[in-house]
Amino acid sequence: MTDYFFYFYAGMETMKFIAVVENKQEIDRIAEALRNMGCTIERILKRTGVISGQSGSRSLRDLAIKGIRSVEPERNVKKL
Amino acid sequence: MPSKLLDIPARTIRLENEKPKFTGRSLVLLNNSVKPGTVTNQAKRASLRLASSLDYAKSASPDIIEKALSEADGIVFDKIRVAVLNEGKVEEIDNRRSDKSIARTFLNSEPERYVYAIQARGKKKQQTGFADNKAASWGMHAINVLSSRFTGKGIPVAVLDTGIDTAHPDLQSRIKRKRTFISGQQVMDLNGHGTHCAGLVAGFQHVAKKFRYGTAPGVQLYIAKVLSNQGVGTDGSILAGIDWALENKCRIISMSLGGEAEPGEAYSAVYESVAKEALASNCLIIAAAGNESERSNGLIAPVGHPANCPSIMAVGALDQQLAIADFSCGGLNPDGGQVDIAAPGVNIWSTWKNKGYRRESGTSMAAPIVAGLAALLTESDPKTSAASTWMQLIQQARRLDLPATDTGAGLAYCRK
Repeated sequence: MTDYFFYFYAGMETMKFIAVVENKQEIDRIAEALRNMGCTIERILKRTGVISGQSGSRSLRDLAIKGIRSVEPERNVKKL
Repeated sequence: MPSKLLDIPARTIRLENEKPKFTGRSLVLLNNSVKPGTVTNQAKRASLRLASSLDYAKSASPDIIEKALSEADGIVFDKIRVAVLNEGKVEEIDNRRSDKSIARTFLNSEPERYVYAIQARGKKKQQTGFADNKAASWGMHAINVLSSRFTGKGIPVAVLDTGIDTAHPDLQSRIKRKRTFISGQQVMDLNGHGTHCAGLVAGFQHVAKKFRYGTAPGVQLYIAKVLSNQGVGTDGSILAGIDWALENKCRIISMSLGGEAEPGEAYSAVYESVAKEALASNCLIIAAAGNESERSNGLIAPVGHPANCPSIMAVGALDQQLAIADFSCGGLNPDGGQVDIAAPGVNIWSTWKNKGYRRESGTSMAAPIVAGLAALLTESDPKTSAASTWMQLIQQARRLDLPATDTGAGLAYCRK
């Protein structure tokens, strides 16, 4: 039930995310896998192993596929 | 002499501050293996009459030592195996130390001292504080950078901010590379914030006034525009800027940016992973702790994102009296989120957009000053690791009489 609502509302609006992969050598493959899930990939940072993009209709939990070490919603930042 | 001391049958030795140090009596350490009765008998052989503390255990007198010492030559505290002897009596024992049984019983002696309550320090003397003068801004004086023979020469330092005034006469020659990560906007800083921060790292002297305000004028600047001209950005652009800086082998990354963290909020695992990667690649990331506190109203906000990551050095801000700045965030969250060091961050002079100059306040100003100091350390030992530079910054910090949760190791300070 909880999952149903989670997916329902997650599907209402795409979410911007940042993720870091476990193995930088695999980053292109993992980014492609996310694309195939419906994500829009905005950046693939090979030096640091970071992928950023938009989740499409997927929840953040869906994006934690094999090879992803951590995935989080993208935050806004500002000058201090 | 205070009247109370007259009651004590002992000579007093005064120190310069008029507080006597010794009572004139002696403390004698007794052999643990010798029975109490034997101690008394051995004392008699030295012509001493010793009382036992056990005899006064039920005494109504509040000061059994004074009572015992007025009735005998000394008192033996059986439990702790120590005797207190009246003035002049220890010599009776010392004169008989050739007697093995006496020497075995009374081990050694020392003068009895007065002890005093440690007085709380009076109200801290108001510091006059640092000020700008003809030579340099107050921040440069405070961190002692004018004494350094290093300039950060050739050290690649990335400044991730709103860009830079690429035509600024103080900075133009120091820009090695630049790149924008903001769609539709050039590196040229139309905000001013990035130019201010870059000036605090690398600005040398005001072109006309010859006034020093930059910490490490010899560095090579790598400018990444990760915040828009409106002063806002996203994680994605910042992470891209870090990635670019690492590609360019920058040794230090200065980030005067962030987002608020809630009390109890964990740090970003993505940024922590990237910061660890940076350290492993010999690059130290230094970030502003955040400006969300209102200390004068009793509000201290936790260190913001991404400075709250354990592998990113978080910098708090100090004012000209070296007090914590009213706005500077504090180390409140238990999982990461500490302030590592502090630096000048109030009323700080530096470069501004349109070839200008101005004063600004914020942890934004403190972070690039620390980044500049890190560049000096890196130049002094180019083979040093980023982790070692971090450690040196902490070790060389000037300790402050302030909570470590606010200022970490203290004021970033130049000792090389």
